[in-house]
Formats: sequence, structure tokens, C-alpha cells
Amino acid sequence: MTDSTVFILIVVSICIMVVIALSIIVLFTTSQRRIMTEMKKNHESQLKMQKMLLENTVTVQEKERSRIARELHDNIGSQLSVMNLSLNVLKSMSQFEDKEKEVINQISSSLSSSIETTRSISHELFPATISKFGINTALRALATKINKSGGLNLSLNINHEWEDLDKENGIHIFRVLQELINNTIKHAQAKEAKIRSWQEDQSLRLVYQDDGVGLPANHQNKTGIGLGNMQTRIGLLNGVLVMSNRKEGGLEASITLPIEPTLNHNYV
Amino acid sequence: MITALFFNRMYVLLDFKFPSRIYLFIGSLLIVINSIFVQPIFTYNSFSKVGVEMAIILQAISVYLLVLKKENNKLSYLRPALTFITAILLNASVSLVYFLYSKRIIEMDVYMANQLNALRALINIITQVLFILVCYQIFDRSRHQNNALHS
Repeated sequence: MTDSTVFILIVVSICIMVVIALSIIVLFTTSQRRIMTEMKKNHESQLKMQKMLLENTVTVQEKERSRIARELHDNIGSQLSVMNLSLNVLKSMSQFEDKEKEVINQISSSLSSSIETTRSISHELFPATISKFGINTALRALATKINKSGGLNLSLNINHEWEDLDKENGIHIFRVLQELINNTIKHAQAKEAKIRSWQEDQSLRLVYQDDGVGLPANHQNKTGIGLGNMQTRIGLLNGVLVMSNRKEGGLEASITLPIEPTLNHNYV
Repeated sequence: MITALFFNRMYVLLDFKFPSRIYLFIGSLLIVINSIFVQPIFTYNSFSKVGVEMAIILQAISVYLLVLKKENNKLSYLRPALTFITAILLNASVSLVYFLYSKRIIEMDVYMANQLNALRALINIITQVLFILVCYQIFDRSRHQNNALHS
């Protein structure tokens, strides 16, 4: 082989090697990008599915609560009232001995208590106050009820009216606050809780605070049904819910909603 | 030695059982032989460097094949390592060609020899650029992981 042949051979072989090396890099880089895009798409579709499931769960839950509340109020509640009325009529119509009167009074008392319980459960399941008088009144009624029970002192500081807030949206906000209060009563060992709400430039802020034990250290790893439901409900209103521990101790849940929150049907 | 350890680590990552100890022993032996039979002194070529370079090339190819078999989601993690292997492969194969034709290059016309040396220098620069690319890919991967954690 002549020198020039060897020269060409070396140059050509080196060129081939460089081309192969570059091709490998390009191949792996492009395939990696493709894989990353696919993974991102899969992840997004999974998230979409999860959100859709949660949204459906919340909607079905609300419908079912409403149905049970209606049944309790209109059917069982009415029947109990009629029974109580009939018992009172019976009591006034006949002459009973003292012992019999005592039994009738006991039955009447039990019936009155059952009517009250049914009414209370029915209102808890579906607070008609929201649709009739608005969310502020419903929250005040809830605060009064909780304060009467004596376990927790709940204070309200709401400096605006929820204008243009329809019934469905009001129920979502009410349910989130109800869940937060329930969690405080069940787990936080708190004495005080407060709800503040005010209007900012383009949003409504709603802050819930308690002086309990706060969130557990590993709360970010836990995704409970309650928290999921709250996130979904706020997401449906195009809002953001952030939960954190306060420096002074206790929980702080901060909700930011766009002004005039409208139900986001395209949320998912 | 470092290259062998690097490839050993790659085989562990890719769940491939490779007899690293035997491989290291043979490699060390080849390096020792290469040191003993230094060409200018004995005018004898042991070709042990060829063995070492060939081993590197074969290992690089084997890693590529193993990666192709691997699940897709591990590829992004291995990207910097693959670029590094590509750089090693390029350098080893060019080095092998130059080694095999070393005598002819020395005897060659000075102008041609200089051109080939310049080409060798260019390959070295490309290798260095690839090493810098590896550093960037590691940085880029860490940044993506951080973004994914915070999103």
C-alpha cells in the first residue's frame, strides 16, 4: 500500500467513526426526547383521569346527599310529624290513666326528638340555607351550632357578599369549610378556629385557621379522600387551596378564588 | 482501570452480570506487557494496546446493546453515560487505527503525517467537547428532576 492509500484509509475510517459516534448521540437524544414526551403525555392523561374520577365522585356524592336529605325531610320527617300530631289528638280525645299518659308523653317526646334529629341530619346533608339565604347565612348558622356544642369556638370574619355565586358553587365552598371544621374537631384538639374572607383585586381570599396540632410531618405523602375532595371542589371553581402549618401552631388553609367563581366544567 | 470500573458500574445499572475481576486481571496484564515491550527499545510490538482498545470498544458496544433492550424510562437517566461511552468509543477506535498504522505514519511524508496528526488532534477536541456535553447533560438532568419535584 502506498502512503496516499494509507492516508485515505485512515481519514475515511476516522470519518466513518465520527459519523457513527454522532449518529449514536443524535439517535439516543431524539429517542430520549420522544420517550420523555410520551411519559409526560401518559402522566397528564393519568392526572386527567384521576381528576375526572374525583369530580364525578364529588358530583355523585352531592346528588346523593341531596336525595337522602330530601327523603329524610319530606318523607320520614313528615311521617314522624303526622305520628306526633295523631298521638296528641289521641291524647286529647280519650281519658287515660296516669300511667298510660306517662307512656304517651314518652312516645311523644321520643317522636319530637326524632323529628329534630331527622331535620338536623337533613340540613347537615344538604344545607338549604345556602340556596335560600346565601353562604354567609349558612356559615353563621354553622358557627352558631358549633359554638353551642361547646367543643370549639368558631369565629367568622367575612367582609363581603358572595355576589353572583350560584347554589352549586356555594355548596362547594361550604362543604370545604365544613370538612376543615370537621377535621379540626376530630383530629386537631383545637379550642379556637376562625374563618376570614375578603376581596382582593382579582380574587376572593378565604382563610381558615385553628390553634390545634396542625398537619402531620408527612402530610404531603398522604392523599386522603377528604383532602382530595376539597382540592377537587376548589379546582372546580378555578381556585387554589393551600394547606400549611402556622408558625404559632395549628393549621392554615388558604383558598384563593377568582372573582365571581363560576363552575368550571372544563376543569378536567 | 477507571474505564473498567465505569463500565462495571454501567453493567450493574443495566442488571448485567459481567466477570469484572477476570476482565480487570487480563487488562492489567495487557498494560504490564505493553509497558515491558516498549516498541522503540525492543523494536517489537506486543499489540497489547490493541487488546485494551478492543476491550473498550467491545464494552461500549455491549452497553449500547444492553441499553436498547432496557426499559424506555431508564434511558433519560443513562443519557450522560451514553454520551460519555460514545466519546470513549470514538477515542478508542481512532486511537486503535493510529496505533495499527503508527509505523506507516512515522515513515510517511511529513506533510501527510502532519495532516493525520492534526486530524488526531481534532478527534481529541471532539472527545473533549463530548465530555463537556456530558457535564451539561448531568446538569440538565438534575434541573429537570428538580422541576419535576416542584411541579
